[in-house]
Amino acid sequence: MSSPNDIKNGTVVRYEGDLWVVVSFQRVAPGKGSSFVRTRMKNIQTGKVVENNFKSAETLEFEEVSYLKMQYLFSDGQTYTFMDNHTYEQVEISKDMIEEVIPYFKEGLEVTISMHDGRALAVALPKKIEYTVASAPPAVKGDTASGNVTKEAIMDNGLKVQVPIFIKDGERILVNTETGAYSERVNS
Amino acid sequence: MKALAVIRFFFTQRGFTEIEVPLLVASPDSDPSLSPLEVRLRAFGSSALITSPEYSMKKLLGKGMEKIFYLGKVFRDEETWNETHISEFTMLEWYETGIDYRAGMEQTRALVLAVAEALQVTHHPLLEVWEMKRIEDLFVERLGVDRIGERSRDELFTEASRLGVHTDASDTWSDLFYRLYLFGIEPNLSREKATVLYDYPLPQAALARPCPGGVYAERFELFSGTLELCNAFTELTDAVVQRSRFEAERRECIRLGKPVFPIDEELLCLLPSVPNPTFGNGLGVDRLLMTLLGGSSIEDILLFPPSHLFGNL
Repeated sequence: MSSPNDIKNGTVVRYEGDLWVVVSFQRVAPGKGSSFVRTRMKNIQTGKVVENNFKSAETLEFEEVSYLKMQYLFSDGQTYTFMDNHTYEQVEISKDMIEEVIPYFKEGLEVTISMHDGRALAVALPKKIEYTVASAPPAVKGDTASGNVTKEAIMDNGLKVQVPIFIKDGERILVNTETGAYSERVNS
Repeated sequence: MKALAVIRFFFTQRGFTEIEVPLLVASPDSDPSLSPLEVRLRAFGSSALITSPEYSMKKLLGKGMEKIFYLGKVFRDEETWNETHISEFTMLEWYETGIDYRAGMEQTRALVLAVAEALQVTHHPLLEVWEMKRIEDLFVERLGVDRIGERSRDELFTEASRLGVHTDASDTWSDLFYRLYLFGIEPNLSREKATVLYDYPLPQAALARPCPGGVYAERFELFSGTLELCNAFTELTDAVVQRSRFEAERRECIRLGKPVFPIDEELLCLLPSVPNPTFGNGLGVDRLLMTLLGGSSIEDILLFPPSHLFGNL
């Protein structure tokens, strides 16, 4: 038995008879009283996503999961293939299981794969990933006057990010993968 | 004039006195949902950094001060840091005797507008009309649950299961209330608007003065989108109720295996001298600046973000 406080992305929970993998979680606390862990989890059979709020003091049943550091190799559009850099072993995950994180993938990206019962179930991204800006059109005059201090930029892997208006093509930036937000410019 | 200077100007111009409070105390806030940052002192032993200046400020009210504000750091030993929670942050807390939470809402709005103007923010939901929502009405609107404040714990279990909301046998009335709130109220707050939620059921506002009827209490929270900015009360000044609240909190801390600090007896002594009504509000300054400036994380507005001080979080 485990505590909701130990939930991580990729944790596999047995809940109401089914197995669910945690997609994202956030601690929330009211002004007074118990704190909760807001948990989005995906059914590993059906792919259905639900959100549950677990109280910190509850007990949950976690399944044993091993976490492997792997590198993203390629995709055929339906499955995504990763490789263990030490053993060269490859695993595949279907698109449905990892939809939320796919936009962040780029060749060679190091991720953490949750393995349960011989099956790869989830991909945890690094908290921040570096990308090169492929296209960041100059800000339009008047943007800042209307309260806009950001503009949309496209990264070299196709990811779209709101960036500060001073960011230019070819610059490298860090993106926060939990929020999808621009984090900082990388100075070379 | 920049944000902190504007806040100070706003209050001093209105006759408030800025006060300092001790940050290092023997009796920090005993709320079991808060984790004070413990500090071991060679001369004294166990102590903690304040999670809010509330206790010291209420003592000053009990000693006769009428309009006071604190603008400074408070500390909470959060389990994780994220875009809206860090362990050291800037709190604005103010109290004024003789006014209730209605007048307090007006005051809060005037303050927010003054800060926005100083930052030259011209477009923001906080500058538009704030949506005013009574908690009781929202539960009807969003969840089909009427008379939330009068419902028993068992009735809330039934409502939760009707709505497919996960519950646990150990849930208290407040836990069930908050589960329903997280399910149907908070996620549906308009992203494009500022909302004031007010009149919370008594168990959710044990330190606020009860509304006429005694089922709800005079508490409000201001949200920018879904971001909570402040928590305000017409303060309860009943020392007997306060003591039983402290004792319940101590029992809960013991049950949860959290550190237990001594009850602040001086506060209980002075509380009956705090006039009724007294309005009090605690506002997260970092969050206010972050939302006004369009940031997505508190880190965006700090000169020394924790991720730089403590490494990549």
